[in-house]
Amino acid sequence: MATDRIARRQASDARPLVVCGKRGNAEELVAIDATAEQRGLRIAMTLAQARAMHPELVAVEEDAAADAHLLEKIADWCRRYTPLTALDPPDGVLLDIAGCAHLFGGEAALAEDLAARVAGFGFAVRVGVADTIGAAWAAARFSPMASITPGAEREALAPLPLKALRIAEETAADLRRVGFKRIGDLIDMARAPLAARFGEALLRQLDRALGLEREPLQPRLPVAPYVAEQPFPEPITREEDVLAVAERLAHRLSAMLERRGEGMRRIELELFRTDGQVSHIATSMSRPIRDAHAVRALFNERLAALADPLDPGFGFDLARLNVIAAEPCPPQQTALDQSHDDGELDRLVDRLSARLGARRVTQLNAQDSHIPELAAMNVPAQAVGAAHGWPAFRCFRDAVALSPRPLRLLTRPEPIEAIASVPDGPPLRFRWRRALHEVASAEGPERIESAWWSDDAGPARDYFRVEDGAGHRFWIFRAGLYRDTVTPSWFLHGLFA
Amino acid sequence: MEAAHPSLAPARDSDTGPLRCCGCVLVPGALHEVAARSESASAAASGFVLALAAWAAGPRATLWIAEEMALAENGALYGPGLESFGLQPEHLIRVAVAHEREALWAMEEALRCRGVGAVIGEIRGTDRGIGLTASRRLALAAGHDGATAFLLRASPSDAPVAAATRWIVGAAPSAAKAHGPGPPRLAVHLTRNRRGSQGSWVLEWNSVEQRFDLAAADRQPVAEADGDRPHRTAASV
Repeated sequence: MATDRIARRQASDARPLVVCGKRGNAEELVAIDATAEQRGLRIAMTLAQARAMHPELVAVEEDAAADAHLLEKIADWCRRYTPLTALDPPDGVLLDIAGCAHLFGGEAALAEDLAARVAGFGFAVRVGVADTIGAAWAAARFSPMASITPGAEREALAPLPLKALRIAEETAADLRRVGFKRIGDLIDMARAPLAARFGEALLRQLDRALGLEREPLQPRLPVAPYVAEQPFPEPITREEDVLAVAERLAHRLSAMLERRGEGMRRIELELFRTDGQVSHIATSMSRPIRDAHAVRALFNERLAALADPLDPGFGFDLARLNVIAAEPCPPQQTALDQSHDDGELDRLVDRLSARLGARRVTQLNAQDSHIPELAAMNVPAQAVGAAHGWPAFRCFRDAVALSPRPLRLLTRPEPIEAIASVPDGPPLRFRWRRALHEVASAEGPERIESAWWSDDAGPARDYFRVEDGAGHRFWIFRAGLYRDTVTPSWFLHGLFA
Repeated sequence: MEAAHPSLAPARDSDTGPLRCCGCVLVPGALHEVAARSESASAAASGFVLALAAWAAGPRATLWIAEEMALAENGALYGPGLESFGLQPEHLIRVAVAHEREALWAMEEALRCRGVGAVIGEIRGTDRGIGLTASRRLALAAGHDGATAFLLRASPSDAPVAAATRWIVGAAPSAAKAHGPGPPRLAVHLTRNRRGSQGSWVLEWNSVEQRFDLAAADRQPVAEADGDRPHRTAASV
């Protein structure tokens, strides 16, 4: 695969291409292309030896990250066949095609289609189809026939070399040393001595390949509870077409969602480009919806906000709408208090969040904290439920007769130079952002203790509400007391109207 | 701090808004521009615009759309301090935008939503800023469903704007009490009014009644020199 990745980027010539990487202390070949193989080069040969045999060879440093990334891309692309795809590093992808092979004309046709398309992208590919992961893995790599019929695993695997069992190289070497060459030699051996000598792993792999033990496939991406897809004989390229398809797919899902009393909360549009690229566009809602038209409007905002516009290349030939999160949603969307307005407002919040990002459309939640900057928290407006905490804050405020709070709070307190009367008087004058303010009147101090139970708590603060000669009103505090530190520092934290 | 329960606020029909002391009726469903007299008056202007917006929105939501630069400079709205200006924090949605174009887009979207009562756009006023066309769009969107739009500028601007009223707001010394600053006072200068007279006043915010009163010391309008137009009392426009 690594050599294919490189060959795809440059014009091919007749020279052998190898990828080398450090194994132990030596530079070894880790991947070779077909030309190199024909000329007698082998994986795990040292680079020096290979160069001695073929001075014209092209050696490229191995790039494991790029290979892993490419494998993920391929696995993503394979989702066009089934949502259950898993990575099998370094160069394999596992697909669970149970129940979806008939959509492509049967298992053989699916395998053929897959092989033809992947080969078309410039990769050497081998496909194996079988009832178990182990058997399919072996079939793809070692068997002359690509497909193993159900129940025939034993016969099909018997002539294959031991490596086809997905076991460690050392175990295979040990087995060879005592005379086991093929899987068939192991199948009927007494199990206890094998396990004692070569470990449980060997037997487990054998059982898994034969289907005696279940081996689950772990999909790379979560499988969406609701999926609708639309293939296009003629690839689509225009943004309006993409939006129209999204609406159509959403409409198709809405009937299914309605039957189960659920609505879409987070959805993702998967677009498969003809050249194998897969684009994902996700968006979320404040409350579960089933309205296809609203879905279209949200994707419209998402497309407009994409940093690099959606590149259709030669067109998309498959679109799929995944409902990643569905939530119960009453048959008719009735809102809590002002029924009509709430729905409108939620749609506005969704649109703004889709375009600007959910973190930039926020509401304030009151927190149970006496520290000013923690008393109100910014929460994405899509996530706010009914519990925003303000009634509790009002009770607290009235109970302790909280002194006025500023209208605007600076992102973080800004240090100021202040001259104040010792030990705990308000400042007489202070300098903030290079401007000098003479304090005309002041109220305070209001002492706010730090979070003394926490390690990184600062000193206690004494807050003052001060007004300067021109009528500007500020919320400033002294961090620490004069008796604790020689020169406590002063900060400006908020602005009053 | 005085509690601001919605039940304390007078009914909207008989109410003429927080500015009745200066004989102004705030027109809902229109665009109003409020500019801070200087950089340091931004908090005073925020308070003024918030009081008007909270009244105009009533029980509907208020959106505060601000450029991220403005938030970094002047701080973000602080929940516990909002109720003294009549706005319940749960009715507030804050939107941070990267630049003016996004702010205008978000304002227009919000104004067309029926669940929204008031939209405030805080713009770091630059000279090329919002033009006549953009403000006209906002005014039209505001007229659409009765939401009221406010443009909050960091400094006064001469650029033509399709606003129903234009205000320049500065801070004014409060009637200091023995224990500290009194209720907030603002020096307010109405430089443009489509439906009535212009003028300058020093207003004192009454957080119990949720309205502005003329500051006790000067019941007379004050002529201030810093407005961009000569003081006039006659109706114009």
